[in-house]
Parts: sequence; C-alpha cells; structure tokens
Amino acid sequence: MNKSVFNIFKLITMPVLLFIVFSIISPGFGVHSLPIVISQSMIPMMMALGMYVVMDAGLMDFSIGARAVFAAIAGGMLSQYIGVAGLILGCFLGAMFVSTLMAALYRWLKIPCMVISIGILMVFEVAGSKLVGSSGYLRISAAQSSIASYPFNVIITLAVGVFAYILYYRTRIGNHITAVGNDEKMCKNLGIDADKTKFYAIVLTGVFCTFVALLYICYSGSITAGIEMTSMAMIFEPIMCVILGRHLRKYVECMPLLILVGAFSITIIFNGFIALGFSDAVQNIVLGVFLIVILGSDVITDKFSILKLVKG
Amino acid sequence: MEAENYLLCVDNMKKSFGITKALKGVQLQLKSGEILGLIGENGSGKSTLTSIIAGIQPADSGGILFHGEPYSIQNSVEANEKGICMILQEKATFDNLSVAHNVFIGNEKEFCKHGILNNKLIFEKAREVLKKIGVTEIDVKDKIKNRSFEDGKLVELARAANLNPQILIVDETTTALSQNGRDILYTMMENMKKEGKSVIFISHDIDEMMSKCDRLSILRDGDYIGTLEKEEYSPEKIKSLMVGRTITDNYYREDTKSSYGDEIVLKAENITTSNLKDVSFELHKGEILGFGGLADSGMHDIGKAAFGAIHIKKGKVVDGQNEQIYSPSVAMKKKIAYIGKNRDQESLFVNSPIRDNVALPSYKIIAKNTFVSPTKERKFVEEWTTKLDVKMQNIDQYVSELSGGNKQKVAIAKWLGFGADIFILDCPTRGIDIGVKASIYKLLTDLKNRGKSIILISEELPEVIGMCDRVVVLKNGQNSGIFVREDDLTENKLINYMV
Repeated sequence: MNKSVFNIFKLITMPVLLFIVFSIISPGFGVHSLPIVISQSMIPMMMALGMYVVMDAGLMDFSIGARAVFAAIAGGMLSQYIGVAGLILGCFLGAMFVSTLMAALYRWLKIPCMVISIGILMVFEVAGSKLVGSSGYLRISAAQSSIASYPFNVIITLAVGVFAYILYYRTRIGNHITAVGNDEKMCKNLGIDADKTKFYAIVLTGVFCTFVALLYICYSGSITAGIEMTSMAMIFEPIMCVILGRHLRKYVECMPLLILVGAFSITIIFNGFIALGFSDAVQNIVLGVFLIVILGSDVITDKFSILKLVKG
Repeated sequence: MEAENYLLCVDNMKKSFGITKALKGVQLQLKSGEILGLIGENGSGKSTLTSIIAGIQPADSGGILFHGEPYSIQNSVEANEKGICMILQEKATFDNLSVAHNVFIGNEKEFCKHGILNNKLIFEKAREVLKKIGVTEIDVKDKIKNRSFEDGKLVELARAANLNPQILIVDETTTALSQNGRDILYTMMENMKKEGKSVIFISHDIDEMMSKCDRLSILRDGDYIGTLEKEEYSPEKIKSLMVGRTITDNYYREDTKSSYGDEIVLKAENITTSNLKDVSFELHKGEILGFGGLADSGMHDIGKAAFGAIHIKKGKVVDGQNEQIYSPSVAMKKKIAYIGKNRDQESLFVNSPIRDNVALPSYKIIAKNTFVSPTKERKFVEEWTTKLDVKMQNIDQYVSELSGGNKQKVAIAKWLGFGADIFILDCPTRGIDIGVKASIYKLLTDLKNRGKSIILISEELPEVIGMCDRVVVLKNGQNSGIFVREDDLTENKLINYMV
C-alpha cells in the first residue's frame, strides 16, 4: 500500500476506534449519534482552521470566539431585515470588520497579538451584548437556520476545509505566513514584509469567523451574547484540535484533514462521556489526559526505551 | 583604474553598533568577471560590509557605485533586483516549508496566478534549478527540517542561482559543506566568472582563498588594510596583514607523540544510533581523541551520543565509574561539556545576553542557598569572558550581535566556568579565523596538560592530525581505523580509510 495512503488510514483509525469503543461501553452512544457528533465537530474544526492561520504565523489569538459571536449577532440582526442574505452578509461584515480592526491595531500599535486579542475580546463581547439588548440573545427563524443545519453544515465545513488547504499550501500568502512563523528576521532578509504578512493572517481569520458565526447561530437558531470573557472558553477545543493536528503532521502534511481528525476525536470523547452520564469535570479530566497521552506518545515510547537501556 | 570602471566600488564606508565601530571608513573595489576574496579576523567587519552591500542593513555613511552609478537600496529585495545576492553564514531556510518553496521564497510571482501557487511548476522548476547547480539527490518536496544543514545551504545556493545575480556574495559558507558541496559552490563561482559576473568570497581558510580568489582584500578591526593581487599571495603575508602580527604556521601541538594517562574517563560500547553502527571507543584522562570522516560518516552523532543528547538504539556510553550517560543532565553531573557543530542552535541562546549564556550551567557554583547574587554572577561571567578574550561591549550584549569566533568563545567560556573535566567539541573552529583558531588550539593543549580529556570531532583533517593523541576514522557510520599520533601520520593515510 502507498505510504501516504497507509498513513491516512492510520490517522482515521483514531476517531474510528474511539467511536467503536464508546459505542460498546455507552448504551446511549452509537451510529444514531453520528449526525450530532459530526455537527458538533464542525464549529471547533472551523475555528481551529482559523486559529491555525494565526498560530502558524507565530501569534496567539484569544478573540476568535468573541469575533465569531459578534459576527453572528451582526448576521442575526441583519437577517431581520433582508432574510438569509442578511444573515450571511451580516456574519461576513461583522467578522471582517472586527478581524481587520484587530489586524490594524496589531500592525500600528506593535502590541503583542495576545494582548490585542484580549482587548478585542472584552470590547466586542460588550458591544455584542449591547446590540442584542436586555434579553441577552437573538433568535433567527427556522427557515434561516436551516441553511447551515445538518447536513449543510458539513458541506460548508468541507468547503471551508478545501479553502483552508488552498490557503495553507497553495497560496503565496500561506507560504509567507509559515515563513514568518519560522523566522521573522530571515523573512526580512528575503524581502518578505513580516508585519504585512501577519496583518493579512489576522484579517484572513475573519473568513473563518464568518462561517463559525453562521454555523453557530444556525446550530440552535439563536445566539447568546457572552460577557465576562465567556467567549474565551470557546477557543480551548479548537486549540486542542490544532495541537493534535500539528502532532499528527508526521503522518500526512494536510492540516485541514488533521484538524478534522482532531475535532472529530475530541467531540466523540465529549459525547461519549455525556452518554455515559459523566460530569463536566470528569469529561475535562479524561480529555486532558487523552491530549497529554497523544502528544506525549513519542516521548513516552522514548522513555521506555531509555529505561530498558538503563536496565539492560 | 577609475572608480567608474569597477563593477562595484565601496568608498569610506562607516558603520557603528553602539560604541562598537564595525567599519571605520572601508573601501572595496570589485571588477567584472573576478572572484574577490574578503578576508579578516572574526569581528573585522567582513559580514557587516557585505550585508550593507546586500541591503540587509544600512551604512551610517559612505558611498557605493555599482556599474559606475550611485547604488542606493533600502532592502535585500532591491539588492536582488539590482543583481546582488548574498549567501549568509547563518541558516537562511525555513524549516516548515518544502525544499522547492525555500528555493523560490520571496520570488513566487512567476508561479502565482490570482494568488494561487502552481506547486507542480514550483517543484519542477526547483528540480531544474538544483540540477543546474549539480544537486540531484535532494527531494524538492521534502521539508527543510527533514534535511541536513548542508542540504539547506545547497538550497540557498540554488535560490541565489535562480536570481541570476551580477554579484554573488558568499559569506563563510564552505565550512558547512562537504567536499561535494564545496565543489558545487566552486563550479558555480567559476561559471559566474566565465560569464563576466563577479563573486565576493569570504572564508577563513587561507588555502581555499588563495586557490579560488583572483584578488584578496583584507580587513582588520573595521579598517581596510589593503588588496593583494594573486602574484603577491603568501600565507604568511596574508596572516600578518589579517592579525597585524606574525603568526607562525605551527599553531597545532608541538609534540609529535601521543601522551595521556591510563585512566579511562569515558567509554562507548558498541553504540548504534540512526547514523552510527556498533562504534566503540575509550577516552583517557588527558587525551585528545579525534574523530574524522566525511560529513555523512556519522561522526557528528558521536558527540551527541557521548553527551546523551540523542537516542542510542544499541550499546551504551559510560563514564570512568561505569555509570551510564543517557541524558545531557546526567552528562553534566559527570562534568561533561558539549559544543555542537551548529553552534547557534545547539550551544548558545543567541537571543540572550552573554551573561545568561555563560552563567546558566554554573548557577550551582554562583548561587548561595538558591539565591543568585547579581554581583557574583557578573564577576563570574566577566572572569571567564576576560580569560577567553571575548570581544564584546559588555556582558549584557546579546550573543546574536557577536561574530562567529566570539560566539564560540562564549560557548567555551560557559563550559570552562562550569569546570568540565571532559570536553566534547564538534567542529570547534568552524567559521573561525586563524587568530581565534590558534587560541582555541592553545586552550585545548592547556586543558590536556591539566589532565582534562577532549573529544575533538572535525571535518578538517589537519586539525585532528595536528591536535589529537589518537584519531578514529569513521566511514558509513562505522569505525574504519584508529591512528595514534606520530610523525608520519598524514592526511592521505586517513583519507584512504574515509573513502
């Protein structure tokens, strides 16, 4: 068998095995849960695709959740006037506005991206809550939410995955983002404008935020404005997907696929434990251990061989 | 010859970094169709001068004429567009990009349509460019992080070749290349010369400079000393112009017989790593044990394995008490020091001050009850940097701002301060001028005389022959011969076992 095909097979084995294990041990979990698992994987995957762009450029961004929520609110509000077109347009304009603002602030103020992102998060969480008013949430119609419900959410995510692949591997800016993340000084020597590249990287996350917003508001038909930094919690699952994806890179060089595998595996674990009736705390513990074991697998193998060596 | 008749003419170039005057009114003339050697000690200003010509940094004052016209550029892209390219001494490739994307990085326009890259074409063209300079065995789709340092340098050569420059600046690159890699570079330089283009070539290898360069311009401490025509070349003359004093050829050990104690301080027993197969050796107290071989012979794994820095699949490394060394921390407990070939990445924190670099392994000595006294730390660092004669502004200067030779001195100072008993040095004189080289050889001899043991891994055979008590030659990851220091030990003898 071709080596890369074999490696892809090995990759897919992880979520498949997790799915089989949970189907066996958890009576409430099985093939019937698949649409839920798939739907729930799509949002973190989409966010992870966006986060990867900034992380590849060597930056850290905590605001992607807040930006997506703000964009969803903008979409929800515009949908009240011009329907589905307003929903899509609102998500796009909201996401691109905040992302471009953040990129511009980063470029002009030269403050670390992490700091800017926290500032943006705090400001736009409040802005979102002011927009939705005292109810704290915004509802869209069932017809509107159906445009990004299952299975359309899968189709949208796969299309965005293809876009991400092209962006990461087939564009000049994608190459420059990777190069800047590798070595900014060297980029300067080779005539690559690192500041401009990072500016574009942040702006590009707006594209992913648009679709996260769309999926998010359509998933439940409403969007709740988060305050007190609650949107920050949204980024941890996508970060796990990126970390897992980066770790699995040794098998195949295709980050969108790797992020998909990561998102899928993590969602299966979450849902499997919910089906088993475990509390949030236990779910988080198991997920944390899973991540550490996967990332540490090479080191653990190495340590065992060192131990054998010492004993031998 | 009038200034307008030179391809490139630098006049009264000045550049300062803080209080350090890197260039004090330097001049340089480059003719069309010549290879001009630029030679000088570490810190003499060669890299500063050439990086200004290549647009990497601006000069404080002074003028440049290119084709007789004033040459004013803002960055390296403009220099490239005008036909001036530079191969840097440091690594200039991106680990997470493929070989092909590294070749065309910054110049992807021709493969780009509406922002989308034609990867197929990039791979095809990269293969072509690499083939054109004589490199066929590098997979262009492979990521740079999976390739060796030498392959990275060859990729940089291909990148420069693709830009078809009028002037190519090669800054101390040959030490990173094997003989095959060097031949590729020399052929490229000769071809440029034949086409009427020019090369500014920087190297510390005087023999190499004499054989490859048509003229040699000499810098010393930021001053222009003069230019020698080919018929004026003599190693003694070049050396004395470089350092401002007479340097004898004999900077290696003067004794011709091996001498060391009976006590074994380090022993490798049939070690196998990804590049070594069943290699065994013993290091004695007061011995300099050399390792020589071709670049891909696996010799660079010896140092890492002995320091516990790489995974040993089979066999083991033990100290004099037969205790196994399986990690750098264990090695350090046994007072073993290691300086890797890739100095900037393996031996130094280049983006930290000299103070941190020198003090880091020695906090147990400097600290008192876990508290570090800044005064004691400063005194400690100053003591060792003074002993090693590191040219620096002060101990808070960043290592990245130092020349290659001074970086190496900082790496050595770190381990001397630590009080190591066993030194593992992989290519310690790589990219270093003869002045610093001589001082490193003297230091090695002093360490040996004080009963310290040294493993010296080197790609330069005269160095291992000149300095070592015994020389182990490696071939294809295996031990192919051991030679004891004696009068008639020659390079030819060793080469027979290497190839």
